[in-house]
Amino acid sequence: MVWAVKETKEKNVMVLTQPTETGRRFDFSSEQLKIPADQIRAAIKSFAQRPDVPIPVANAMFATMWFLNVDAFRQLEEKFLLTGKYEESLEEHRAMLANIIADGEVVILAAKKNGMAATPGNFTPEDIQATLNSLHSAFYCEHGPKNSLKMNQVIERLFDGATA
Amino acid sequence: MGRQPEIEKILEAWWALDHCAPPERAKSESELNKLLDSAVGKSEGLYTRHQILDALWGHYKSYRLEKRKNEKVEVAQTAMKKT
Repeated sequence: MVWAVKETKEKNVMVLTQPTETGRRFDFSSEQLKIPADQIRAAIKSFAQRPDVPIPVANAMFATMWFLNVDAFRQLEEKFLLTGKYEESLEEHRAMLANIIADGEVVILAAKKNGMAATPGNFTPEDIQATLNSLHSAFYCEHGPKNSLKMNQVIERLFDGATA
Repeated sequence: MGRQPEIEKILEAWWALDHCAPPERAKSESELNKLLDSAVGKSEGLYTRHQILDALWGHYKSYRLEKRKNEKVEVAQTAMKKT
């Protein structure tokens, strides 16, 4: 017997049941069920770290989880932009962004060294690298050394057809 | 006042890189880099991609805000139509 989410006449009910044909029938999204994201992450992490899970499969799971974290971070950034809280939370932003970048560096290193199994939608290590590069750019732009005002003015004028 | 069309294109490509599905990220990055390299070329190599992104960072934050606000308006309009 295993826990599975099965559609019943009553909505949002988790029932103890035998696995269905594939054992992978999940009809409710985590949002509908309101399962905390950190619990899902902990469950996936725990599974991926089992010794009987091949390393490339574990790498694919960690990479998938990392992409979910990146997307959640972007959404949070935009929520803060919308509510006007972005500028006042820059210290937290810096710490969170640095943490996500560090995780991404570990994910890409592991994928390059030990391979990565097929992932949802078939994203590749190059897609991870591109996302990581964009996060590095965001860190550089928000928290790194700034261009001088004059340099920014010259760069903006380039788009008007001026020369440097 | 609207933004320069080339700046707008860079912001669109930057947004696409940050928001497209994971399997499309490398392609999106390549498209953004093409636009940035064009700007680097205009500066005759004086500025780097990073310096150009830094110069446009404020524009990009405004662009993201506008996109999200527009999405909210669209959701509200769709909901109004349904009622």
